[in-house]
Amino acid sequence: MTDVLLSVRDLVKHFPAAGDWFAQIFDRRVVRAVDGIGFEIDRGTTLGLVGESGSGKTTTGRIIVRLIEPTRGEILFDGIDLLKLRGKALKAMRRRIQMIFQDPASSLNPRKTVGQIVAEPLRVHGMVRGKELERRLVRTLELAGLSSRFLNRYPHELSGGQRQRVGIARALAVGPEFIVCDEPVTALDVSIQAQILNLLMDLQDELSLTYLFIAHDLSVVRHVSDRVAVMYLGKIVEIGEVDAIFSAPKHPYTQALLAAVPRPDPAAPPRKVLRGEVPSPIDPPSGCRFHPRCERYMGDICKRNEPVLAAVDGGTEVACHLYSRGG
Amino acid sequence: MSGLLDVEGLVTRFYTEEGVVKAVDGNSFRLEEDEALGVVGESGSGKTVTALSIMRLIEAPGRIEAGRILFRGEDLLKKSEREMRRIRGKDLSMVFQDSLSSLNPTLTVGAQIARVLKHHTRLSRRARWRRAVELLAAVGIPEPAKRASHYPHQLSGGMRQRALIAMAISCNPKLLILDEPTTALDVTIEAQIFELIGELKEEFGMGVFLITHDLSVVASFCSRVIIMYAGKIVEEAGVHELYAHPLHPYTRGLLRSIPPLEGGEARLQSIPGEVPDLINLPPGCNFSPRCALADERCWQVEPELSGITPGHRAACWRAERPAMAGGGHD
Repeated sequence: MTDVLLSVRDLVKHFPAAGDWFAQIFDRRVVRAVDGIGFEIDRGTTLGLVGESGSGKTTTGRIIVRLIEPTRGEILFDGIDLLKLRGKALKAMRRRIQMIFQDPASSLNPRKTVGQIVAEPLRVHGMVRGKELERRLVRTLELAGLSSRFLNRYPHELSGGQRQRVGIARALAVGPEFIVCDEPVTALDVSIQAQILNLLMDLQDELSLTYLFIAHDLSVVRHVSDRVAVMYLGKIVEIGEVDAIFSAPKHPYTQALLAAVPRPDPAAPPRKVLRGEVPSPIDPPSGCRFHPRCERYMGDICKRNEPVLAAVDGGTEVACHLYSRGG
Repeated sequence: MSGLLDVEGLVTRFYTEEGVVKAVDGNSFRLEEDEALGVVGESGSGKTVTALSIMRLIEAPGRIEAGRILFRGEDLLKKSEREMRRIRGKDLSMVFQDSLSSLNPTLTVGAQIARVLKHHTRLSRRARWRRAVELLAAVGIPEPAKRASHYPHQLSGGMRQRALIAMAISCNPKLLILDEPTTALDVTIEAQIFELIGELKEEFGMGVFLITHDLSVVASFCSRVIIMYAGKIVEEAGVHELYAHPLHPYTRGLLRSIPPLEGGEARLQSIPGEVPDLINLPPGCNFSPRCALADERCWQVEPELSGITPGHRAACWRAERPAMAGGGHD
């Protein structure tokens, strides 16, 4: 179980705050989307990545699939330095790492049939052709829970759930080991959401897939993940086993996030409201980035010193001065 | 006795090239004064069309074909467009899902609120602006005087949604309709918005008609719930009753589809299949093709929404029978 497939170290991505190169001459500020994060994912497991908009979770996912070049950092995939790969080696790596997007309506080409969409990655990688391609397509669609009668349909003829199944089939076509799932059920109705979550978990068992599962819905993340990382303003504030984090969250931000989630039970205690909004990642607060909104704010130490992730009991790692006194 | 809103036998259809879409198919319900009523359903259930029908905002090819919408005892369907314009935004107000597209991008938020006030009140120009700033403060927007002169794109999603709510409550409505007001927002902002709406509801004694797909939001905010499926109300009850004793198999399926925050369950019990095509609805009960309990009668005869226990209505042939699988009877 200590077979690490993906290891991310000190990953940073700063985007220019200004739009074009001309504006950038006058405005040198940067958006600190991802600001020094690290984590590992064991083979065959799921790491859930949660956080509010602007936390950097989507940027993290996109860097791993090499859609975005990071400012610095290191990503080891199965021992290979992912960020150093170029040309043929990178293309070969793309077969092993795939992505499922949030909005199946906009991530599928409306002018192509389901068959063409799912065949595209196979064609790009020159994997199969002719009769074998046909067989492969049918098999891949079946894996995603679609029958072969969908091969000649267009995305607009499908329901939201069916479209997401096509997105899943496209990711599966090249036989990846690792899939970044970016809010894969957010756009779907509740009953369909459950179908897709079950499918993703079945596929993981069947094909021993490893997932990075990005979502803002905490109950969904709890359901699919083995481990969870909580992000706030470009930093991981807490990371650990899913049960530990959900039953005994350590970081005040994780606690606030969980207390804000409504429960499907009218007798549940009322939601607790976290005040304020996520500050701008252009000019994040000093010290601990959560300190202006924190209920456990302790004064100068929180304002001045940036806490680092450190293990506390239960194996969870937390970046909070509450747990590092005297250190 | 009538409620704040009494909808009786509402039928709204859309005449498209593909056929007649039965978006809302003969629904009746009541909303009492200062009550928060939740309407839960998935895409195509007819919840938004119900709200737009109440607001009389159904446009061609849609048509309200039958029913009465009694708002404070008067039938809105008998009002002229001119009369409706006096009611909309004043006594009857609605907040739409997408804050970016329901605000005018070329006007500052303060000017947009002032516009509503100009339409419905006799306040002077300066008084209107002052009131707009007050309203922005009331919905918890920091630096309201400065924000009032900002354009929608300069505000965050949470702040835009607050500005829309400020506009909707600007004339102290008797009924506030909210269509998925927090769907695009983070959970922390969502909690803030519902805290705000709850406070406003108490303060002004308004009724709230909350449309959502999220059963958890309803549980935490509403006192009564309506569950809609394919244009029909399939179940209605007080929140405590509904979550403890869901009667309709669809409601039970929805509740079981939510992954519990406490963990457990390795596999979710999803509802098989998809929502039917509203142009070609199945005979009998609309839910029967997806229902594990469906039998011959369900496939042929449509069940009526009827009282099963006091205050609890369900449209299901199998609802009266106790102790069904997962029925939650104690």
